[in-house]
Amino acid sequence: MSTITASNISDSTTTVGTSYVVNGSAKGWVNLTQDGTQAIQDSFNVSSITDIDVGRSTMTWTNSMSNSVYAASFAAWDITYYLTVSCGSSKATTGYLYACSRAGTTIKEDCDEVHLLAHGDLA
Amino acid sequence: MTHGHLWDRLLEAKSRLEPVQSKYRVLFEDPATPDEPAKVLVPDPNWMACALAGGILPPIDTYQRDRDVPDGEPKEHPYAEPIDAMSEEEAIEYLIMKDIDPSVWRDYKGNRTIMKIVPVELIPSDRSFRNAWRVVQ
Repeated sequence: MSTITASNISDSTTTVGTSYVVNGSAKGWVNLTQDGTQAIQDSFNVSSITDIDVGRSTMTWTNSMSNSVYAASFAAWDITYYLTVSCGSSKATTGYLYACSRAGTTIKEDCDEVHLLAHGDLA
Repeated sequence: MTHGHLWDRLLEAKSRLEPVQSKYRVLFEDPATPDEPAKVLVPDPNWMACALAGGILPPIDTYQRDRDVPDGEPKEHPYAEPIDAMSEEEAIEYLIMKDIDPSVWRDYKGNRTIMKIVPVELIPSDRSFRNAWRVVQ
């Protein structure tokens, strides 16, 4: 693996520090299906997901976060219910528990696709 | 230190390795919540590719020691020297110890079988009765 060491990146008009790029990058993301046999479609920095019950799963980071106040974005959709509300249930340095439910209800639902990504500080 | 940070190795591996969909799943029940249905652990394909390739993932004992590290304190696993390639079966065992609570795979002393490694074909794709799944005894 080759390494380029630089303090700044420039396009000849604007210069930014490489720390802006590193700190602003997503530290992990995953695209998974909850319907049928659950599977991860693609990901980065994720070691596994765990199917807990209908609509609820956890994901675990390979490289943990430094603290649990990182920012996690979460979205899910389902072609049957179109608009599916989803929310995270609990967040830890090692991973994230999330749940999907139908819009306007507390009825949990397995979604066609779930997307999750996180920004913050790595351990 | 020549091996760098774990996250950097994952970045490099993502650009080099083809994902590997595991043929196994881990079915388990949590003894702390006996009324909940069985859970299913699904290995990540990119993680599995790293495990099979070797030279990327840290030793499992670094994750186990990091379980006790308080929030915000430095952790050991991102900086540990990576381990060699594993077989898929060894990788599943590693993942159990990393991602499943020790109360399931180490501390449980009951008579029920609460964890099984199964081929993916044995996990039902029909989720109609998902909240009633149990580990078959």
